[in-house]
Amino acid sequence: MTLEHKVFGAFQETFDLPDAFDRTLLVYREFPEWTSIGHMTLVAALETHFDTMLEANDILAMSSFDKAVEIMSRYDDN
Amino acid sequence: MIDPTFAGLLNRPAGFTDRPLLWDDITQAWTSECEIADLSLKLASRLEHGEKRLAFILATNSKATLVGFLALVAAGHAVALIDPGLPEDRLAHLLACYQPDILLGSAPLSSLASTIAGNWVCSDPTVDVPATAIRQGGNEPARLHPDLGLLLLTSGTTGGAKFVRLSWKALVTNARQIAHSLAITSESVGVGHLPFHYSYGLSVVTSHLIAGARVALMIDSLTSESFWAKVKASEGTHFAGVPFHYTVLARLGFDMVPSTVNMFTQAGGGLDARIQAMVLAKVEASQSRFCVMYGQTEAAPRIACLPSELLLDKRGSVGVAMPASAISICGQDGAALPVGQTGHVVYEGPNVMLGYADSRTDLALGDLMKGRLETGDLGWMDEDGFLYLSGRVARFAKIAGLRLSLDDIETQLSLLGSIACVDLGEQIAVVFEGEIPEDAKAQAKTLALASKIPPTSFLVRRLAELPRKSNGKIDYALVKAALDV
Repeated sequence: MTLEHKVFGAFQETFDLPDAFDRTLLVYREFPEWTSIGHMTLVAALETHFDTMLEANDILAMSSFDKAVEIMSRYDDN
Repeated sequence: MIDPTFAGLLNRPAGFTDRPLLWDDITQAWTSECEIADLSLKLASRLEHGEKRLAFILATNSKATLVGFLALVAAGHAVALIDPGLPEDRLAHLLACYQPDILLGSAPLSSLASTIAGNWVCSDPTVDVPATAIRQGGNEPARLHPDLGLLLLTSGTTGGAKFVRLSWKALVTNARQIAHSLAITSESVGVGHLPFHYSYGLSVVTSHLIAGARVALMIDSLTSESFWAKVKASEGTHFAGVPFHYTVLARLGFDMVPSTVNMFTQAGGGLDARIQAMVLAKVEASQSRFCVMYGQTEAAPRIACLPSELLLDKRGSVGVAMPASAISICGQDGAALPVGQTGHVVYEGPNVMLGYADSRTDLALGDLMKGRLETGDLGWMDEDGFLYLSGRVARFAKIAGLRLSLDDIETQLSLLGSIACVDLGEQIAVVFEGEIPEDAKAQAKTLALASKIPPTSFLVRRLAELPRKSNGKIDYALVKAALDV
């Protein structure tokens, strides 16, 4: 599984998205369900999928799907 | 008649000053008291109509919303604060039910106004004043009671069209009570990040206005990178949050909080003891204060406050009644119970609502409560008058500060099968009779997303048979006991 797939899996689980969902729409506070509560749910899902704990600065910097991929590349062992 | 004291919220007999009043994160700058008053009074004169009208504000945490709100107060209208994020069908239902005469919002309103009968004149928003839509001609048939000031929805995004009816006197009195209980001074800066349309969020604004303090309104939320820099830039001193916000702070680390913040307040449900201990450690290290509070929208909203210095002595309490008010614990028959016994929490004070409204006709009603509110919470009091809560009588759960009707959730999921919902604290158990239907988990998740609560909020379970009382109604206490959670 590519890194992007793995990150998208966490987004899918959090926001209930179909496989073909346009990832450019996934922007914090623009995508309707990505509220502060959605954000923390997403962080928890990413932590489960990557079996890791995110740094506070990374949690706050995760403002889009692309940004999430960039951040999670630093936590990915595979 | 325009009221230049804004019902007492900005009562400045010596005139408005040029000291800063509002910081907002759109302009990222301060606006002075006289500029806010001037903008609001000018808009009030456009909205004033000779008689009381009904206005809906699609409220955001912006300067324009505050100006619109104050203008409607000054013009003597009745104001419903509405979450602009409500699902479209729910908003349409509210508009159809209540037939407002004025709409204010942060985005142009002509298409929304066109869904309501009448001839509407609309104007576009600026950074200073909201978009307006004003219905021309006379009032709609159902009149408004002279004491009616503010309307707030009783539950979050689920549920019907039920409003809490408040007088301006109740709202302003409560703002004063809060300012007194929290010792808000002219040096204070309230961090206004809780939604303006949420009773707690509104009370942060009003309690600072009335104390001659400053407010920083934030559209941004504490899970974004820029939030704490904005708190620092606005010299925010008072951070207010519901349990969710403190859970996030505990996760991010309290070091995020800039040193300008010297007071934390928490309401909107019980905070996990582990997180409360973390807040306490932060408060002790930074010589700041932490006040636990209790309230309900029905009380405009504050009922009790626990002073910071008593937090350890009275651990687990939500504090004492607001000034000039009283809390009593009553039995099923309404008689007062002695100290230490658990019963129904009853609040009496000048900030209690006039009553509820289910339709526009109900807005003609006067005060049905006479200052007495049966909160629907269960609790007990110690010998010093400190209140300890132990649960709810009524069928509501509170998740992330949002109040959710368990009956509404049951209705929405009832197509799937025979069902009972029980409050488990920050989670709701959705219990099916027999087997768990195939779609149940997916539907619960969809409902959670629509209700703006975490998808993990619903715990889907099954019981061979749902326990029932002799009258055939579900026995929720037994359901909860049978779940063994």
